[in-house]
Amino acid sequence: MFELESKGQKKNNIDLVRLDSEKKRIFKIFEKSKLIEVHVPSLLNASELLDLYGEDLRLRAYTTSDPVLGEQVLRPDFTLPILMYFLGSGRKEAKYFCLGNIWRRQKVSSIIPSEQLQVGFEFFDKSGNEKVVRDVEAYLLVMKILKKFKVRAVTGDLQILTSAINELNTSEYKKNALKRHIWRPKKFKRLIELFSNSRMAFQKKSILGDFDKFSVEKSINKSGPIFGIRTKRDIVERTDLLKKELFENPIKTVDKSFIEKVQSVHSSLGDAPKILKSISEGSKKFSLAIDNLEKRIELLKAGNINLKETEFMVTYGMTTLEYYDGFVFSFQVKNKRLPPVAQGGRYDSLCQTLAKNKNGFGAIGSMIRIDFLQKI
Amino acid sequence: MGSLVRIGIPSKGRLKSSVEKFFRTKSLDLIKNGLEREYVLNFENRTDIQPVLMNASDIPLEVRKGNIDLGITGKDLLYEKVSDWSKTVVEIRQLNFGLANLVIALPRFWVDVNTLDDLDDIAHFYRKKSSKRLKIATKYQNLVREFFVTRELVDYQIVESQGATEGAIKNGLADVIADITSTGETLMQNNLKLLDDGLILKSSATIFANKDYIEKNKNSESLKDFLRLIGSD
Repeated sequence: MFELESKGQKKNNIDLVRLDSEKKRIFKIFEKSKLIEVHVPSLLNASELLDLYGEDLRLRAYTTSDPVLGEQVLRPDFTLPILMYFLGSGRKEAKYFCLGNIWRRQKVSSIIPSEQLQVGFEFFDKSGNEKVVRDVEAYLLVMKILKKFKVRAVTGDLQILTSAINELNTSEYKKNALKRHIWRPKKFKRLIELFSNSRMAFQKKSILGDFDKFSVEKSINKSGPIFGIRTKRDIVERTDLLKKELFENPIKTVDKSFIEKVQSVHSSLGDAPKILKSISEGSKKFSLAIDNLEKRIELLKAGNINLKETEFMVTYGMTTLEYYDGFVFSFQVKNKRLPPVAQGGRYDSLCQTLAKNKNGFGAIGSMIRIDFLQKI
Repeated sequence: MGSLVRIGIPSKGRLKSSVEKFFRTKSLDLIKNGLEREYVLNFENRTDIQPVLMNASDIPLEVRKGNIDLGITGKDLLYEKVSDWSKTVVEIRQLNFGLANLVIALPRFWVDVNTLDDLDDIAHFYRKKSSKRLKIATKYQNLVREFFVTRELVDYQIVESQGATEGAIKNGLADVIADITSTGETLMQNNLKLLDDGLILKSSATIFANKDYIEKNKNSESLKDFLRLIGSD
């Protein structure tokens, strides 16, 4: 056993012999499942990632300046570089995997080392067909790799809450605002409170701005010169919209409690559809999301997954896994204080944004922390 | 007597003269022995304390690294430059000068934008329309980023601005700014206004020390005496 450790880094002892046999084992599994190995750069252009992830990237990843190339970033995961590779390949569909290090800043109290050896795999399909089948295929692939370990699985499905929001009898503006903040629970809660009680909004004058009903233009004129990105028209238009939104189509109390009930669902995967159906009372889009969940569960059952022992949470992954927007999963080693050994999910809209393809583009992937596997 | 206690002091400007005045009230007069532009100062009647003149924004990191033992500078600079300050630095006392707030400011004619939620709303609208992020110019990148993370704001981008930040919007370099202000006069004159909930930090000059240094030297008479002297009113 040999290890070089930089000062101040968390100890991440690696048994190279065991690691090598783990790698070989995983490679074999991937080969059998017809995944192709790809190599992606470690150093990426920061501007593309910043545009996608926002300033949070600088808190989580190692960014570095370069007077020639501009700001660079050490890859914080494989998802984006593999996706870029796929988009450049011109293929219609592909199954890729990649092995190597990723780097992430960690908090002082974190048990996760800042440099990790991971293997990541991604399934892409531009047609977006058979998403549920791909979900299950990805899940079973991770299970195969983790078979010999005692792991606990948690799953979620972000489509459930999104489609519940779509069901609401309110304006598109309000629905979009709620969907946009699915990942930010505090703000989500604040918004749904506001949207369900228009009078309160005026009393508190928060969230949607304070404005005089009749004299927006007058007060713009009074407040000095116009400069910067917004025009006078932008402001008048927004105030008109807000006025309308605050007075019309408030979210009804029953709808609000419907959303809250959906959010609180936490059960075994096997019981989830039954519970969700009892909340939904047969609404259309929502039952489509439950149908998908049921289809997925059927296929998982056929793949010998124990549905009783697999957890399901509607809100799972909403605080930590921002770009996921469908099925999500995470595997924790039982009885060990370790970070999740594997984590993944569906991220169709990220792909659709990057590929400028709104029609169906589907992607699901997962990472496995193999430097932890050899320690178990 | 142990070795010298080294204290970092701002090398110029209003902060420097306020620090000198503060020391004078403690009968710690600063005197210049060298040339007019030489950066060397001493305390008139104390040879066990060595003042070190430095750029105000360099003082926090030098104290953090232990190159100097104590420092006086703005709290804003301490928090911005030393992200793990709560673990590596001890704050000895706040002083009643150098008072200023780090705030978010935007064009005054944005009459519909008064809270962070409004800002978030228009940032999202702007990003959808132009696929660009709202640009926020600031010298305080770390403090602003942390503030926005805890307030759950997302569709923005920070652009660095080392000075004259109040003009950044007019000059087309940014859409919103986060800057330090004491009276608000400069913001007013640049036709900017504040957000109701956009106060990021209330700052003042502060005396702080390297944590390890304080622990290792807690029996040093010089240090104890000096801290007693400057630590109370």
